[in-house]
Amino acid sequence: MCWAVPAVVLDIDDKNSLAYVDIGDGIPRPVVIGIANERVSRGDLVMVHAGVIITRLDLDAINQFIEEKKELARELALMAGDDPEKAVREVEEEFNKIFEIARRAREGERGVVREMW
Amino acid sequence: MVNQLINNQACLNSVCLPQLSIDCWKCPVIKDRINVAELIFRRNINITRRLREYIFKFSDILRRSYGEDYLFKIMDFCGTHEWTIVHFGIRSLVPNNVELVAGPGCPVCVTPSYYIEQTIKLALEGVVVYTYGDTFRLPALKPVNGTHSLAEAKALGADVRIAHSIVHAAIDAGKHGKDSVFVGIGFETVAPGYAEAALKNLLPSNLKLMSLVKLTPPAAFYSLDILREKPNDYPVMGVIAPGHVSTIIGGKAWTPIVENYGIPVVVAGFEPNDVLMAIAEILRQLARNDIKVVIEYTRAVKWEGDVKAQSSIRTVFETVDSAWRGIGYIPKSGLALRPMFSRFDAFEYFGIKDLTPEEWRYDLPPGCRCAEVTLGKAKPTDCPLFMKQCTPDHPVGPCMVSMEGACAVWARFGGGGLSVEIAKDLGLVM
Repeated sequence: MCWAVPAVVLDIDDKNSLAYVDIGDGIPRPVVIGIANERVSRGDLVMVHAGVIITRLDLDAINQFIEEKKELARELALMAGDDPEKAVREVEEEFNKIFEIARRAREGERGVVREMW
Repeated sequence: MVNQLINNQACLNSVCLPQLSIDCWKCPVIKDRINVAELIFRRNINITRRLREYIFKFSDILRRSYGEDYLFKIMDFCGTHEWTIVHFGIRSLVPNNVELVAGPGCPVCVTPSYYIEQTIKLALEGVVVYTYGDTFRLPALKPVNGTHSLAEAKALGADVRIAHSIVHAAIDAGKHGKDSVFVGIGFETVAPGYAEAALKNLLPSNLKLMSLVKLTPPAAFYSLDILREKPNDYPVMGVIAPGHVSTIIGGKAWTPIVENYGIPVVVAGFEPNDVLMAIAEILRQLARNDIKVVIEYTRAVKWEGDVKAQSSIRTVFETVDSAWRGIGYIPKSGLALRPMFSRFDAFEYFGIKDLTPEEWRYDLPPGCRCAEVTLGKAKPTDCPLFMKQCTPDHPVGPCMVSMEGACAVWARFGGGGLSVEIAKDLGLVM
């Protein structure tokens, strides 16, 4: 029921609540905007489920995920009697490494993603 | 650093915007955003390892307070979560006092056979039937003129077409002008699409909508009740709530579970690290006795959901009691078109009588345990037909049809229980 694919919004037809999206194959497809039209604009990353835009991906929320993970790491370190600041630093370093790899992938370097494995 | 990378709005500048081309997909900023998401949630083995460590630590704490043998059942509602869990082998990553149970989140599995029989009948009478790919193969209990599914009807010459979406069906039906019906199965995720199509008059006059939309929270409460009735079994101690349904109805829709059952709920995304994070959070809440609804899938889900989508669903549809295949009627668990929009209603136009609680009969084939599988009472491997008569190529029960059906997922990827047992035999898991 939750199978959805990320897509990029190419164009919006506000009158009919339709949007044209590209799911990665270069073919513009018409889909219904199921959510508030103000939330969707050209160039946005959205999730498309059975031809309906169900949400806009808000990748700033990754910051929140990182904060949550730091919180978990701190809690566990306190429980185990380790240094909580060190645990948090480790998590930070881990994510910095990911962003570094993402940056290199963006610059066109091939095979960098493999480094994560 | 994070903000530089993912908060960069350069793709909305004047260079790309006026041209409507596929280059948006090649845009480095968007590519980068996808890379970051994928690197964190799918491919990052370091994060996976760390989350697994957290899960084991919290399960140790719980083992100390609940006892060595206590089994923590966590229900994953969504068929897509079950897919992630089985495909990525997450069951072999969790400690042995944590059990992941599949829930009723597969619309194809729970659509009553009666409606499939009615659409087959329409197809054989010459009506063009638009359906999603998985409904196409869904077997009905009683054959209509010897035809068991829409696929067989098509083989007999009926005009059954697979549609990706209602827009696709509307465009296609507008071209030929023949009487057509769209088999609208699904959950809350597709409902705003149908609602918008009705509100904006996107459907041509010859295309009618058969609304078989089901609602998830009532089914969630129902299956939790059912699982609590079994006295000699461990109760469900946590719920992984469906992420994409929650984009519409919001995280707030799950608060009754916390209030009535006192168990944690985590709205999770669909990448493996999302699911592991959700398990870690549920165990943390249990260990700390800090029970609440938490949204893990923050990049897509808001606490309020999408208010506009909720209001357009309310405008077009009314909540009705609805039949679930093999389970029966669950109160207030379905959506039917309001009389104001009856011009789109396939039931009215084609004179199909809707199912009533008195007429509903148990509608699974003999031996099939799909209803128990969808309610989390049985595993697919407990079913006598699983991988014997019932295979993905020749499905007998509805759970073997859809990509999200628990049986189909287990059949394709080996099944979580099985893989754990094999790992145990080989001495990989203690």
